[in-house]
Amino acid sequence: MKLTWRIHRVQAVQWADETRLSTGALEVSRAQLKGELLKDERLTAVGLHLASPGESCRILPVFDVVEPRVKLEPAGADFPGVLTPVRPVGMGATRVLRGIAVDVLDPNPMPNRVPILDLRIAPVEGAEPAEQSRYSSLHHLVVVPTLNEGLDINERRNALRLASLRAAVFLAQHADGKPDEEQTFELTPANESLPRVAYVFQLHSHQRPTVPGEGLLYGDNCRHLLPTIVQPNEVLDGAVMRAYDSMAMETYSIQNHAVILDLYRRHGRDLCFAGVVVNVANQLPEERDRATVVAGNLVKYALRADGAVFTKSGGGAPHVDMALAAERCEELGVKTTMLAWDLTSTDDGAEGAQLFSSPLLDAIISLGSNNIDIGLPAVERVIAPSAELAERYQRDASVPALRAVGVMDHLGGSRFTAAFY
Amino acid sequence: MARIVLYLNQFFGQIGGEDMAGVGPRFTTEVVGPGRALIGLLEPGEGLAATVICGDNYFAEQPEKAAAECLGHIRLAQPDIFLAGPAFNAGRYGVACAALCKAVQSQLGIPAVTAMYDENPGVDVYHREVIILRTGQSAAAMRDVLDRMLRLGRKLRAGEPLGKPQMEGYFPQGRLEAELADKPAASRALDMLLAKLAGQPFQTELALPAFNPPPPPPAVRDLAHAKVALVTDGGLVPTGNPDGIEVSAASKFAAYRIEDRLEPADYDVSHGGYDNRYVKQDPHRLVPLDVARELEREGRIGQLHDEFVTTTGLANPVNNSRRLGRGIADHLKEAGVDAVILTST
Amino acid sequence: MTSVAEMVGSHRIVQGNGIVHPLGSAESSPEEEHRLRRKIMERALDALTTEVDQPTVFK
Repeated sequence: MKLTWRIHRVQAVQWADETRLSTGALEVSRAQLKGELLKDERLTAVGLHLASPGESCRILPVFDVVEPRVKLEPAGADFPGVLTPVRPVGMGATRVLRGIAVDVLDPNPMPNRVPILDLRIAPVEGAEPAEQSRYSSLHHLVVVPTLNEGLDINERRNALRLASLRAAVFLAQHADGKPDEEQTFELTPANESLPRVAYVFQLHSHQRPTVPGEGLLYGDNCRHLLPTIVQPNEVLDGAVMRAYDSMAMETYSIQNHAVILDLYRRHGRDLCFAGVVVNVANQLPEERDRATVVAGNLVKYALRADGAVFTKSGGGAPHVDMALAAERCEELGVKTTMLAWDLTSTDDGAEGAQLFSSPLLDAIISLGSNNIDIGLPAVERVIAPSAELAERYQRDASVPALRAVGVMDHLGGSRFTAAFY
Repeated sequence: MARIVLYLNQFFGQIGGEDMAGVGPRFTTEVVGPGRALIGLLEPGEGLAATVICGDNYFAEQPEKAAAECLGHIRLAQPDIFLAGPAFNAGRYGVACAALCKAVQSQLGIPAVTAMYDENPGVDVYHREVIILRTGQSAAAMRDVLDRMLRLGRKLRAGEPLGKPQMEGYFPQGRLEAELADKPAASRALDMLLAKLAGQPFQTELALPAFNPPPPPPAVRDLAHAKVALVTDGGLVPTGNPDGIEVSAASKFAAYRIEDRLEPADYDVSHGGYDNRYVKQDPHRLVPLDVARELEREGRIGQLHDEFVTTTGLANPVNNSRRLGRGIADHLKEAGVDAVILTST
Repeated sequence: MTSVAEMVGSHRIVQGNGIVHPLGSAESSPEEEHRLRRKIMERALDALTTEVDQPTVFK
């Protein structure tokens, strides 16, 4: 399975009469984009805004962040099962607009759950904004929908999701011309002596069960998913979606999946990328036990891995599912490493708190902590669905690290970490 | 030139054993006990200026007075670095060492280092304020520990920033600091995995906790005459959450009177870590009062305690959970409860 | 999450029926749910009256 990204670099974005990309400048027609989005009758109005990298600007509440892309071959297979009918993806060619993200805002966020994307976020002193969050160096096209009053919460969230995907595809569709670079992804045979490394990708945690219509894998909501194998290209090419309120995991971070891209980079050099297992964190104990058995078998016997990297999703409980799967792999002789975040509170951190403790699980990467609050100094501009929210968040504020969009990344794309001293 | 002052208890100071634990503070310029090993570790320009000795009981019974008196001796010796212990698993000694380190730091403004085993109460009380090196239980490691203490003392004196507790070997002081690693997490994970596969050394970024549970209580002998209580950490609270139990990292628990049933309209859930709707529909799915009353009526249990106890177990730091657990246990013991059924999400 | 309970050293552990309804079920009739709750509680009583010397999950 060979996938080619045809990458166009976007260096500037502005409103214009027509939508096109010309020598790095993306021109967008508000009327055309609005028209496209309002085809979904669940939206009654759409606000559109632009923000530049490094601007003193705060964008909230963020529902999702998406990189503009469109499938060229096979054409029309964008986000199959969600935006378009189910078709295979992960092969052929996909156009990528790099340097810009589409952000969709949620007009009715859950109380105390306001994900904030601050373009100058700086959880750590003295480092450049680009080092602190991958979104700080991008242009942002922000979509602020107004939704039909009569919709229930699942319809609302589905409408927001489809709006974000439609906007992303629309932008990429109209930006033709010669790409600036191409990148191909293919698991060509590698030297047999290299260690085989698999990746176990926990898509979602059903501590908050997915609802009908909240597709994760080719549109399936994976409510009772037994671990299965996917091709890494399928993850990179739109087959996998996050859940509606997934923390520290945006569509952008899946499209640019750090673990998968790194495994590809090193494939044939110091490792052999053995493949990807996808699973979920389960709610019921037998489901969890069953998933542990199946994941272990897939990693050990189907992928014949010597080692495996694990990531999680959601909150604290799914650390357990990840740990059980990793422990099972260790029992089968597969060495593991996990990407987890520290669960303790800042009150007295003499000991970290993890929900698992096994001597076999001795290689854990720290993604930071859910208990670090990041200070946000007053900004010049806030893009939000209401004047009230804009006013509240224009002043000095703070946001927990897990809700600071771009700071923590469950999929390993961030350098943010935390240490006890 | 670095003047080092060492603190020892009556035993290591070679005054006597437990029978001499009541002796008061004194100092000597002679090299005694671990001081001999310390001398062998010094670098040119370093000297053991004095050793201050105090009995463990003397210190434990009047800690402020003892500390002040010891500090007087220490000050006279004009130290550049203060080392106390190591205390290993000796509790009174460990507390004294750490207390003195704290006093020396704040009142003399010089670096102070001590060392002890993780169960030593000195760690619990002082780890936030004092650099305490981690040791095993056995004093056979004395020379090694003294070497580590000296190295850390020198670093502190030179104003060098300390590395992470795991690297330097001291107990974390409870400060959680955000940092940027040199590479994204994904790269670090692959580096670590390849090192692990190659049998090369690596250092985990997250250490796993160690739990020291108490011995199991004996089984209930006569359940038919026992008083049983229902406790939950699923955050079930009366509507309006009158006692303000937090949705996460709860700092308190509360007890509420129960009759025969839990009516959904009377209860809320204050817990942000699970989908609350099933419990809201029927609170018995979390706190099984209905079945508990049946068991009581049938004589399977002697009596159901007339309250249920609730708190929220989400993202709660371990020591907070321990405190809540002890508090709940004390509360129920006072009420004459023999056994608890704790339900958890 | 019996693994967590075992890890921290809880001595007597009974498996519940899922995170969101440990003593209930979303998919059963009220009678079935009651029976399930009763069964779990019986196990709890069993656990209370059994001697253990290490973390034990009662199934």
